[in-house]
Amino acid sequence: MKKSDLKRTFDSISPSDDLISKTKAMMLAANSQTEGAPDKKPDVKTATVLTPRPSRRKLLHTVSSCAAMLVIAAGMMFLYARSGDFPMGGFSSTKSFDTASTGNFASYARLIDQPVCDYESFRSEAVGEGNTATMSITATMLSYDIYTSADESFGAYGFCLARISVNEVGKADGLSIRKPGGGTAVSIVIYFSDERDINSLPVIGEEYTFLLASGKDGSPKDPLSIRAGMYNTWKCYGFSAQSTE
Amino acid sequence: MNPARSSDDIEDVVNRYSDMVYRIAVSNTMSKHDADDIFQETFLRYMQSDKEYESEEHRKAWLIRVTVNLCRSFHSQMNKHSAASLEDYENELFAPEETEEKGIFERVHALPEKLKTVILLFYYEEMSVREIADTLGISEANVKMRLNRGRNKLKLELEEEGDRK
Repeated sequence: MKKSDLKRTFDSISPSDDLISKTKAMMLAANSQTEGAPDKKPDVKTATVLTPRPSRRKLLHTVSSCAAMLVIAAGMMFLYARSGDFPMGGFSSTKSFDTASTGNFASYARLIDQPVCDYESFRSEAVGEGNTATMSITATMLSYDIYTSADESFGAYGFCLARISVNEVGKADGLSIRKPGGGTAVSIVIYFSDERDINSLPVIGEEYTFLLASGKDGSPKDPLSIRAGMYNTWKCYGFSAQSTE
Repeated sequence: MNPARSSDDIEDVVNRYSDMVYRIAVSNTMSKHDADDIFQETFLRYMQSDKEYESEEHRKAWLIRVTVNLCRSFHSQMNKHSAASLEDYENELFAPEETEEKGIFERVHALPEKLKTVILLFYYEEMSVREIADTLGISEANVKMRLNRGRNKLKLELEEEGDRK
């Protein structure tokens, strides 16, 4: 594929004349209302050409209740259940993270290969490797710490180490993932894909829905997939709070 | 409150940027329906914005950023529209004999959102790495990383021009 092919292909994409004229009409309508009511934002909903859309809150609620999920590793739960510990590249939830907070990201950077620091690439790889089995849980955030990195080689802007309390485990095809043995708390690591994500900090006490990703063949043994899964989910779904109202 | 914009300004901004906004919307949403919505929403926000633009480039960058952010919001409602809507749109865009263009369109569509946007801005809108970084609020290194990944995924023989600055 050459650049000219790309340009030629996208040359054919343009809005319809009807859409353009409707948009201009909508803008003019909003504009005239602005001029007529200087102390009030234009009530753009009265522009008849606008497509009705749900309110932001409703949208958020819909997104949250339907698909606002994060991928964490089912393997983590498996390992946690097996050992009661949380192995993550030599760190564990029971150990101090001081080394991380002081900026020792080099060790973390080595944990994650660049190619898997991307949602879609992981997804495509996952499809090839058969790592697509997922299941959902609902959980409550118990605590979290945010670590940021200015190290470009890290491949992510930072990560969040969080402890969640599993409230409910959903069904998954062909998988049997249980609550961690002896308790309901699980540690997760969420990698931020960009600075904007870091600004969307999780809130303690909110309820969250997570999507668990398994390793190969439904057996969460592949640490690379597990880590990628955690990272990917954050990128894809964000950390949307489940309404507790 | 935003200053009322003149009808000339409305004409100008829509005529100047409609294709760009629409291309970004289509390539990110994979849905003509969503792209239409995002197109309208982007320009509506332009109307509602209090922003004073320092330059034409600034205005362009603002529009790109709003479009990309709106696409992300729509992206979170994934699978809202079926693949059929994209196929219909492809059939609308390309004649049956334009199989190559259709193939390229599909390959670009298959890219992750972040790679897609950067590829489109770099190769189609011909923005520099720095401009893309400023527009999307990411580092230049990140832009280059996404370009590389996008190229690898597309297996493009695109002229890199040294990731011109």
